[in-house]
Amino acid sequence: MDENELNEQRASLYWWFATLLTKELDKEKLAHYFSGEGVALLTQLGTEPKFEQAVAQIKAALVTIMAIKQPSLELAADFSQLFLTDAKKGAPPYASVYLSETGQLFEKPHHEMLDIFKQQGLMIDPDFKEPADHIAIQLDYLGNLIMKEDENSQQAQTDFIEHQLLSWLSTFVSATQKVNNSGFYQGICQLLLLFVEQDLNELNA
Amino acid sequence: MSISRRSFLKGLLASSGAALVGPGLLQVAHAATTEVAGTWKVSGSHWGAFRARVYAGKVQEIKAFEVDKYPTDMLNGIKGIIYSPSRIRYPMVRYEWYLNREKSDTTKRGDNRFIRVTWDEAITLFHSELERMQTQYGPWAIHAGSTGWRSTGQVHSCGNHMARAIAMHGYTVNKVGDYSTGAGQTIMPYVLGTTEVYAQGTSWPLILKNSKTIVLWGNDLVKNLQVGWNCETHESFEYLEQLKEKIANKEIRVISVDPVGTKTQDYLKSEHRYINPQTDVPFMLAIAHTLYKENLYDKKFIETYALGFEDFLPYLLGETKDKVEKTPEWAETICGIKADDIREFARTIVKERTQIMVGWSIQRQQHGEQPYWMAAVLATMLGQIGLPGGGISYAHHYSSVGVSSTGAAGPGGFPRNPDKPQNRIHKNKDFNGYSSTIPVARWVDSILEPGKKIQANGATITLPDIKMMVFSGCNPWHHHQDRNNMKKAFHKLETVVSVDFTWTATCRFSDIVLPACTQWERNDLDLYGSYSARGIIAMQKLVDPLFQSKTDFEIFTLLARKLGQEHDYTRGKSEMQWVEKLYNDCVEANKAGFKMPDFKTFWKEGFVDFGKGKDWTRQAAFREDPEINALGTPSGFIEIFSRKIDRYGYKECQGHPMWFEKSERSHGGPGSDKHPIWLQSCHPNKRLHSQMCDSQQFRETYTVKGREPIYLNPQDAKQRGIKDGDLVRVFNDRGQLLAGAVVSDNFSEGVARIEEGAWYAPVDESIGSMCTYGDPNTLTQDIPTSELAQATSANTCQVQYEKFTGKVPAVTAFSGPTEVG
Repeated sequence: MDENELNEQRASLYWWFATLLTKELDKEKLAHYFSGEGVALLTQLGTEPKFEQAVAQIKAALVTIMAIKQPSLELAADFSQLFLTDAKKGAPPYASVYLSETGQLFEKPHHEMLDIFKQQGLMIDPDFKEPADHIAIQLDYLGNLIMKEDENSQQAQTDFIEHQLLSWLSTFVSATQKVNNSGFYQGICQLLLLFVEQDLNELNA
Repeated sequence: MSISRRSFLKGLLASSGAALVGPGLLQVAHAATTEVAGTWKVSGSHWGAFRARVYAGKVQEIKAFEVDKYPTDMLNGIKGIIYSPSRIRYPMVRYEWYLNREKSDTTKRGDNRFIRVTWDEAITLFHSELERMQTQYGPWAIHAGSTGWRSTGQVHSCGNHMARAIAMHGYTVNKVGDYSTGAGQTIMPYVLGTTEVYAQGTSWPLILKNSKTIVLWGNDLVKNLQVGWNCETHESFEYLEQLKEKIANKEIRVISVDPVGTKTQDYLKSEHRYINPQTDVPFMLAIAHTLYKENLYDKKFIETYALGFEDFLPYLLGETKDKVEKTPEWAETICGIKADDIREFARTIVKERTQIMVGWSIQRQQHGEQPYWMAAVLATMLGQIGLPGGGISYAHHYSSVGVSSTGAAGPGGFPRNPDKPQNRIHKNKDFNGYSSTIPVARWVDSILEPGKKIQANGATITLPDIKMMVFSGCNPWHHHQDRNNMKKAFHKLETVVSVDFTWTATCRFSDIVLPACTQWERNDLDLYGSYSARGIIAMQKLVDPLFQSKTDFEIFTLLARKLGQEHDYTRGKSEMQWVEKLYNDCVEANKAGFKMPDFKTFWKEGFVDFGKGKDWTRQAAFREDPEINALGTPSGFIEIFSRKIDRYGYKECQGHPMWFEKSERSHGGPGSDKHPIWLQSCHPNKRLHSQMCDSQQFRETYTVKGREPIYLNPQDAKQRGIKDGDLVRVFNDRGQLLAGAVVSDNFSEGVARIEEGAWYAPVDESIGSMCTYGDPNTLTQDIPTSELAQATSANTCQVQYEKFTGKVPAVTAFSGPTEVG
């Protein structure tokens, strides 16, 4: 696999995680994980030993959900319970919650992301009305950074992963673990953390 | 850099992954932002007017508006409201309700998972439930009339939006009265001819010039004047500062008749006349008895201006009804004031010019009509009504009452009623024998006992069988009494819809929750200095609505669109066009008296100031000529005896003011053996009712171990082994809560205070579960004041407390929807 292809893969995976953490899966999208591309992807990811356990958790959760009358609604309730509540009961997907003294939204990490976007001439899709330090926005940006044909890109990726993402990702992922539901998103978040860590190792290697 | 994802999908996701990856979240920015240090904007609130610096789409800094010389520290809580973790970010629906609708398990309300839905789906659900109610039941099944203190701003006034849009769909149950002044506003039109509680009072300069004594009867001016119905600019505080000086110079005596030492008393360094809780009427009767026996009262004034003294006198002298003479010795055993001190008090207030200022707390108790009526009788006996610095007022603690009015007209509001009522979708007005309007505090009774007949203000009310409640900017899970009773009632409701910006307990107990934005995320305008009509303030949008929240205007426009009546709803005008229209209407209304700039100039400047008004004396015109300037009472005179009320034949509100024992009372009263402590739940010092409780950092400036404070008497606390800062369990047969002890000499033995508005945070959804934050309405009783007003009796509440020793539960409030159990 040449470097371009590899980067495309890495970017695609970051975007895949971003998609899952942006909003709830509707019926049609969820179906891909019962029998379709999603199954293939999970199986392939599961072949990596480090990811095996997280993938197993995701697959088990899918089995649980499939047994429920309206699986996509059940998963939507899981999503809400984890990401749409606050830090006491769930795991809000914003860096500010974990990194600011007050635990409030729109704090320094949000402004740091805005500064980055400003430098790069980017803006958040106006329809996605979320703070700039939302996990999905960070992952989306990282994917774009990877695909940027720029000699400094690799260093920029490392910096971004270390300073913007890993500064809070493990705290966020731990927060998801305290919520007791099907476990689908907990598995996804765990897998994300492992993937980011592995990716950073590769970048530094 | 390309920002499209799909073209890169190869390898791992290449063959089939496209379906798994959604569209990107980033775009190329259109234009570089020119913001450097930010922009200063003007806005207002119940807490005050301010200027805010906005930078990078965030409110960075707030400073008081320069017209406000006495800003409150609650301005420090504003940012915390906007960026609170309690914000409702998306339209949410209770998951169980979403699956099963009216067949959902309602016992799980308050302890449920929610799902996020799109705005379109949320409005569709809201509309389909209104539709189902109108077709399956009728207008009697929907109560969409409960309103609260809303946010300020005339265009987006949330109650108006809810009322207009829902009325375009069909008729619903409505309410009369409010939780603050229910008893007062009902009794006073019979006695003095107006509600009095919402009336301008004698101007402070006249009081400062003429009064020798000011009696603050259950009245905490310094605490309550911090907030206003419109944008408050705290003009009263200038006069309170002068009053303080006059007290120091011994020119004016100020006496607080109160079971607690107040913030006002601490500030003014004024006198405290302690009285046992809920015993104001015996004290007042004994004062009247003294004035009569010592021949000190103003007979001529009574003859000229009042009716019914002769009907009242036999009761005072013990010749009728209870056959008890209302002597100071009799009163002493109830109110705890020595008989000689009562006589001395009577002599003091009759000797020179005395202004009586009554607060609202004493009418928020069982038989709350009586102290209000009796206070008016006392003022009549003193004969100073209509004189500057004399007489009685019931509102000097409220919204700048007492600051002279400029007479300018404020901006009107967004219309509350449909423009074309004939186009209402459901024209059915048949309430199936139920009443279409109920006393505000009786809606929980309606849900629990539909069909029950009650007496209210001369009418018979048949409580409707409410199946659906709609709330907008209204938090009854703060202001109504007896949470556990409310839980039972909510089990019976099929559908509850809430529109709010923050996850109040009301939202958590709802099925459909729609996210409004805060008042600082929209453009609007407001009057500042409510009763003084000091000026108009622009409310310039500070930031765009956060997350998926929308303005009230947008939310109910969406509902109107569902009804096919969007244009009729908005009259084809946008938000900003409405702001401009209300401003221009106001310019027109003030044409004769005030020159106002054009809209563009006003919006740029941020305000129009009308200056100061002329001093004025309440009831002076009546005093001058009671025939021409008759009062609004049935007779036109002050009614010490009301034939009208007498004819109602009520037990607990008869033809003249009387003393009635309470269902619960401290200091030897009913229930005090088991629950010896009187719990006062007055208006908060650091909030507006429940508003701002969600402002985390500001809340932490007054909480104790993260809980609402309970103010305790030192001896009572010591007896129970409680120290300042301890966690306390407060309980009675109705409920239990956790609060943090603040031990203070301001509170007498047998008296405790938890300020209302503390957010309800039950351990779980079960009946009787402990409130982990300290909402006093977990303990209060939901009984009416009497058959007359049917108002709330929050201050008739006995409790016991102990040091909390168990495993401390986390506070469950101040977050989004959640499974708490």
